[in-house]
Amino acid sequence: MKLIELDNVSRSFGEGHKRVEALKDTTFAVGEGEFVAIIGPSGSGKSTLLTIIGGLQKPSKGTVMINEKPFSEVAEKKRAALRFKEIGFILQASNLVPFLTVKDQLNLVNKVEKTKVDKQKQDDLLDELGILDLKDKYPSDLSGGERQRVAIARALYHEPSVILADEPTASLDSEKAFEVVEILARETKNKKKATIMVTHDERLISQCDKVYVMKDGILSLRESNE
Amino acid sequence: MFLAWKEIKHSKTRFALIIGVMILVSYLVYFLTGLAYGLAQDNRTSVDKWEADSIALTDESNTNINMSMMTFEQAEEVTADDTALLGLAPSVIRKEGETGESSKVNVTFFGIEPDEFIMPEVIEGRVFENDDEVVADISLKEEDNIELGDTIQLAGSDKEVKVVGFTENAKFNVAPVLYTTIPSYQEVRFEEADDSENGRISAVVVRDSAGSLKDVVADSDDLVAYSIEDYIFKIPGYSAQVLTFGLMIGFLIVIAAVVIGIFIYVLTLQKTSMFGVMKAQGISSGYIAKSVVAQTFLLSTIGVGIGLILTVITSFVLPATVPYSSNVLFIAGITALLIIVAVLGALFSVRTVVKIDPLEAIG
Repeated sequence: MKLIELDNVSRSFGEGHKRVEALKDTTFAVGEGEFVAIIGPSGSGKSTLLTIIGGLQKPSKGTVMINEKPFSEVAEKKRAALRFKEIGFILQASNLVPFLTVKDQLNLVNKVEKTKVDKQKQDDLLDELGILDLKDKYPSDLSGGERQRVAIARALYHEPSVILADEPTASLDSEKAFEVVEILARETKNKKKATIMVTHDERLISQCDKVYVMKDGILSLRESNE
Repeated sequence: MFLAWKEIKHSKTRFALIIGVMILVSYLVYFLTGLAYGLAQDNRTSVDKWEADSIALTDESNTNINMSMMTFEQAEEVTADDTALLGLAPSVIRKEGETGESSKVNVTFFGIEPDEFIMPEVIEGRVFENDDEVVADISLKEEDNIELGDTIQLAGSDKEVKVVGFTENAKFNVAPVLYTTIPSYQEVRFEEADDSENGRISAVVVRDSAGSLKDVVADSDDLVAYSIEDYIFKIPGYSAQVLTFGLMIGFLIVIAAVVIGIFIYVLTLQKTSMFGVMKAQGISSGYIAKSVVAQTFLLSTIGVGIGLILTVITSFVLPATVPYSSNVLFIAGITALLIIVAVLGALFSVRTVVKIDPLEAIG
């Protein structure tokens, strides 16, 4: 099943001769349990693509389907609700709330959803990511690698169908970065998510099922995954 | 509420400062309100005690009761269900045997007929029975050590009166009231009693809820009737005091709103990127805005609550001479008002939250 489907999506900014096409006619799809990397130099349109998939901005043309729902066509308010349900974001710098403990980062999801806190589910998830013993710590007490694991936990906790990771390893040394990507790959397979990771670090893509290269707004599949 | 409370617990110092400001402002507001109310009460309690509807004064007096003077004959012309004659004379008294500046006390004599309705309830001692006896406001006992049976001398006169009873809440124009007979009042004011029809008194107090003010003095050319509320407002100095205090308290409440509004706004600006990430994650602006408002509510409630506790403690240790007085209605009103305006102050941070673009948190 395809969880992410883009059909002829393009995005441009500005008018007339100042018009910039950040993303040109992009059609691609990511299926269940598939871990996809998008690489490319900065300014190539990777982030634009990710934010369009994430519903943070609308495409100029084309449609985005997330878990078979037409994401690009609903109003912002409803899109936020869909985003909350369907998408787990993992960002470059830590996307954790600084004044919440690891446990409370997850509790926040329950508070927003107005559901009961499932302690067992929390503990299992934290244990799986090897951060169960950190659950009462604040983000400022954690190392960069630990923080990204918490961010992954936060993204997985509300069981989205799609995980979008924007340079999740940017602030980590290569050993930690490799670990984080390994976890992402494992969780994608186990929990049958569709995961897109935007990165500029080619060493990390060995874990990925497919690698796309973004250049000047054009997305192309890299045939050999070397 | 969840986010609001967790953040307060995490950044204790920062929020303690905001709460501190709230405590100080609310303490000042409560205290000023108590003082304003106490002073206002000291101006009017003796008048409130009448439970009257209106008062007839001479037209010439310009509502200043000290300047109003009518004869018994003129007073007869007041027509109402229930009337009471009143002679009013400010004076200075001194306890017999005492000397020196500090022993002088400003008072107001009320000359009344003991069988008419403005006779106060005596809480200690008994009613006056002749022209040399008075019933005094209890504050003379509490603040000036005057006891039952004490003889007091009047300044500038040979007259002496004996305190035979005390009543409470009887102050006029911030001075305690001494109730006595009308002849006694005339002696205080005119040096001699005159019970002929030309004898003079100050006013006629009227209890008559049905009749209009005009009807009360319809038969008289020289008298004008005022409703009690109008009259109180025209007690010399009363309106100036009430309006001044009112303005100060009003401004303080606005300042409280602005201060907490600015604090919350700055905190919100600091958290812009965090809120951006939350929005990217699909947490609605509504949820974030609610938590900002909830936080303001918590901070102002805690601050105002502590301010209130401090005020109550202070009111117990205040000396009796400070005219501090308060009631539950006032306290509840001020509390609600302070919290409501603080929350209103936070509302312009809500606009900021709504405007945050989650795209900037990612891009």
